[in-house]
Amino acid sequence: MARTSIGIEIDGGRATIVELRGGAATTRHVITDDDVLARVRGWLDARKPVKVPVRVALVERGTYLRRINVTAASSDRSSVADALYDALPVPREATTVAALVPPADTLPADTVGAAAAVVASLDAVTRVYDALVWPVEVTVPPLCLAGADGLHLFVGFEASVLTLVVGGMPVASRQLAGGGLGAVVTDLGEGGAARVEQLLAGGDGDAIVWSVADRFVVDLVEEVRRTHEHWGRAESDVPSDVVLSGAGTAAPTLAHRLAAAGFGLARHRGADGALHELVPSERAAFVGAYFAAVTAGTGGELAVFTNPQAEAAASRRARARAKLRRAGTIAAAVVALGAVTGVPLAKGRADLQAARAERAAAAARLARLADADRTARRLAALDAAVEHLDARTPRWSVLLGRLRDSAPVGTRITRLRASVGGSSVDVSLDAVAAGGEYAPLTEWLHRLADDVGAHDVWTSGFAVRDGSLRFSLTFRVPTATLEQTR
Amino acid sequence: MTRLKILLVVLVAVCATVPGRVALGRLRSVGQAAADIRTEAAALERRADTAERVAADPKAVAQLATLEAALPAGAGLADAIDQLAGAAASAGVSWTAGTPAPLTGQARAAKTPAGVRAWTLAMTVSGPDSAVDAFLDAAVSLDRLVVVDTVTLTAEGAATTAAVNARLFAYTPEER
Repeated sequence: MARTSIGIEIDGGRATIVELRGGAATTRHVITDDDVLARVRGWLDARKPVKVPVRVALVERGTYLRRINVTAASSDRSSVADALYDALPVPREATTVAALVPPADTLPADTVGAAAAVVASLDAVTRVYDALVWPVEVTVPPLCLAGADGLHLFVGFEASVLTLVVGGMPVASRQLAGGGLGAVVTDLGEGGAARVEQLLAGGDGDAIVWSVADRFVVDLVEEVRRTHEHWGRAESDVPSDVVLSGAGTAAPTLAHRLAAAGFGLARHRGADGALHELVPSERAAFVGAYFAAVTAGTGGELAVFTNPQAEAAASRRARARAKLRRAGTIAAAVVALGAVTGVPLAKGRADLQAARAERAAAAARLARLADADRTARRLAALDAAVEHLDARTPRWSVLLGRLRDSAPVGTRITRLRASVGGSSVDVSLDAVAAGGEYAPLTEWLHRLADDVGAHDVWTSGFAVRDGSLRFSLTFRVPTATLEQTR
Repeated sequence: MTRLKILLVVLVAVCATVPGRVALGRLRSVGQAAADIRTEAAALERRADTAERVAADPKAVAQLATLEAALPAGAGLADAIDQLAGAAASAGVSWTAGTPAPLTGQARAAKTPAGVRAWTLAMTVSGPDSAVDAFLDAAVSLDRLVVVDTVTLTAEGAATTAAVNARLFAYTPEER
């Protein structure tokens, strides 16, 4: 899919726009207005560059580029800013920093590498971000020249900038002291802007404008020459062919004056190809926007100025996300607690409800059987009571009959006492046997033990009196051996 | 620390704190309450099963009547005396004395189950041995439950005098 990007060069009240698609400029647009930012915003609103990188090259006076040294371990915005502010006498509070830094993987950890850092007015950068609203990258023209080796001369309204790009990196850049065509407009006074635009558009009938503009060009070229000479002493390879860009390059005497100073005119192959539909004299006005479009979305975050509002918004979003994560974690914990206790509690309550329903159903069933229930309960209670009371009651006739039957012949019971005690009947009796023999006593003692099943058989006394044997016996008969009554 | 670990830490912390303990305590109490109620429901079901069996058993009413005759709701002393006097006459003994008295205090508690009131009845009968035996058998075979605890026989010529200590009962479940 062909890459699409948009480059916008904002130079005072003039903006040039280039949209690149697959390396070809599909849109070339020039906007001139006192409130050019509002007009550019309108253009963006109409274009709606969603997911299309847009880079704004802001031409602003008081922008400085310096080469600084960084290491792979310190190539962040903070370390770049520290290095830059050490080299430049500018206040940190009112400025902002951007830089081109070689990829970290090309720098050994502790080896110093060269980077190009730019400091610009914080107000100017913020004004552009605020005005355009769309997510654009704001930087300055020298940082859009990454990879475009050569000597670049930008002549604009706001400023004129000479930049040397070597090995893809702008190694030197200087805003020329003469400024931009804005100085010519100022010199011409009221209506100067229109007269200058007319001159740039090819009109040469205004001799005053021509003269003032030529004087500006002469001074400009002289400063370019001196700068070139200065750089030539520091750099081993400074080309003398100049790649022109900016609206001011249409000044009629510029090419002639440069040639007179020993400079040739070079064309950047990419820019030339992308803008080939334009005549060469018109192309230079779009070269700056072209380079902005080429570098849009590349070069990393350092290559553009930070958008303070976006940074604050990102910080707010990060805080919101963190808050959301915390809330999510708490919610998950609550859900987990619910799963650990709440769900079983809910199940337990449901089970409790079911148990209550079971009890209610059983109670209702029992209520329908109330009469039968009363009968059953009374029957059970009475049965248990009778069983308890009557369990050990002997059939007395059986006991008394056995005792009488076991008595030896001629032996008569004169008194007998029997009482139920525990699991046996305790018996004591007095008896009289005819004759003076002890045989009836001993015989009965044997029979009680052997025939009646009595135990603890004992005689508490016996005596012979009046020709009879009188004696007393005590023993116990287990009730289990006696027939029960019920 | 992964989110899962954080979650587990929070979970343990929450469970260890008062709300967690309250929730777990409530969970246990709800479970116990459900178990108790089910036990009650099972008991009610068993009673209903028994009631159904009794309702379906034609002998149950007659059995209840027999048991209620054995253990009436009140003392029913007059009926008891009538029945015992009838038994004495049938057996051929003379019932010469009788002393009923309520059984109270520790003696009652030791000898009677819950809901049962008891009276002692000391009786004196006389007659031949066989008649005394028959009276004793008849006394403990009446519709009214009579329990003979002690029998004292004294021979007096051809006759025997029997001192009988017995107990009578009534079933009044509201008492005790």
